[in-house]
Amino acid sequence: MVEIEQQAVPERQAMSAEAVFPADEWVERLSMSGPVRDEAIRALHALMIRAARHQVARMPEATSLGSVVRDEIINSAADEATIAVLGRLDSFEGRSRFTTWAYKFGILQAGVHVRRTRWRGREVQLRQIVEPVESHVRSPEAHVEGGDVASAVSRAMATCLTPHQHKVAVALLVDEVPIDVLSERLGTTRNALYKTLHDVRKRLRVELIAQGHTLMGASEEVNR
Amino acid sequence: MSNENPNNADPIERREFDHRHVARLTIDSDPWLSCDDCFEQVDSVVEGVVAENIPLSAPFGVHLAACPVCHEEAVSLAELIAEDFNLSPEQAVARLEAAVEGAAA
Repeated sequence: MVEIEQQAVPERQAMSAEAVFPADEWVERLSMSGPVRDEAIRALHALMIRAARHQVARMPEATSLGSVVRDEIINSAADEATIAVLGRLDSFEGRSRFTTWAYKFGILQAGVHVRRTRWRGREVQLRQIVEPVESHVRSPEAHVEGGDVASAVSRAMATCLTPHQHKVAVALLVDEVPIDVLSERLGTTRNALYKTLHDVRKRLRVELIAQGHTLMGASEEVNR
Repeated sequence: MSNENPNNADPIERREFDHRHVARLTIDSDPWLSCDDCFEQVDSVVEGVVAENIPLSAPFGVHLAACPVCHEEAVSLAELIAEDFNLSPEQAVARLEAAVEGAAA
C-alpha cells in the first residue's frame, strides 16, 4: 500500500529532484525501500501535481467547476497517477525521459476527472439521427454539396450501422459527449468506444464512396 | 442517467446535424491505432517530435487527427515538456501539430 504525503514536496523541489534523479535513478529509487523510496515517491507525487495542474488549467470546461473542485481534481488525479506510475514501473523502457513518461499518467487522470466531473448529474441521451439539417455551410454551392453529403451520411447511418454504432457515433461526434463520460456511463472503455467509431467511419466511407461522394482524409483534422 | 429510452422514443434533434458532424463521422481513421497503444507510445513519440522533430508514424498521426481526447492529451504533454528542450509551449505544440498534419497527409 502506498501512502502519499501530499504536502511534503512542493513543485519546485520536485523539479530540482528531477534534475538530481537521472532516469535510471528514478526507477531505482522508486524500487527501493525505506527513506530513499519515500523521498522519491514524494518527488514523483509533486511531478504528478504539476502535470495534473497543467492539464486542468488548459481545459476550458474546468473553469466553471470553481477553484475548490479544481484543486480536489488535481490532488485526486495526482494520487491516482502516482499509484499508476508505481504500478507500471516495470514497463518503463527508457524510450523517453522518465519525467515525460510519468507526466502522461497525470495528464490522463486529470483530464478524465475534469470531463466526468463536468458531466456529473447531466443526462446522456443515446439517440439516433433520422434527418440532417445543414446550417453552417457558407456558399450556395457548398450548401448544395454539403446538404447532399449530409443526407447521404444520414441515410448510410440508418442502413449501414447497427443501433449501437449509430447511437455511440451520435453521442460522441454530434452531441459531443466526452468519450470518458460515455465509457463510464456504458461501463466500457475509451479504447472500445474508439474502436466502435473506427468501424462506423469505415462503414460510412465505404458506402459514401460507393455512391460517388468525395470524403476528407485524416490530414484534415476534425478534433479542434 | 437514462442510457436508453424504455419506449425507444428518443427525441430527434434535427438542428444539430451539420457539415462539421459529417466530417467527424467520415474522417479516414486508417491505419488503425488504438487509444491504449497511443497512450503506450505518446511519451516517446511526443518527446521525439518536440526534441528532434522526428516524424510521426502514419498510424499515430492518423489517430491524433481522429481522436480528440488523445490529441488533447498529446498537446498537453508537448506543452509540459517544452521547457526541458528549450522551447516555448507554443513552439512545442506547433511542432506536434505540423507532425500530425504531415503523418496524416
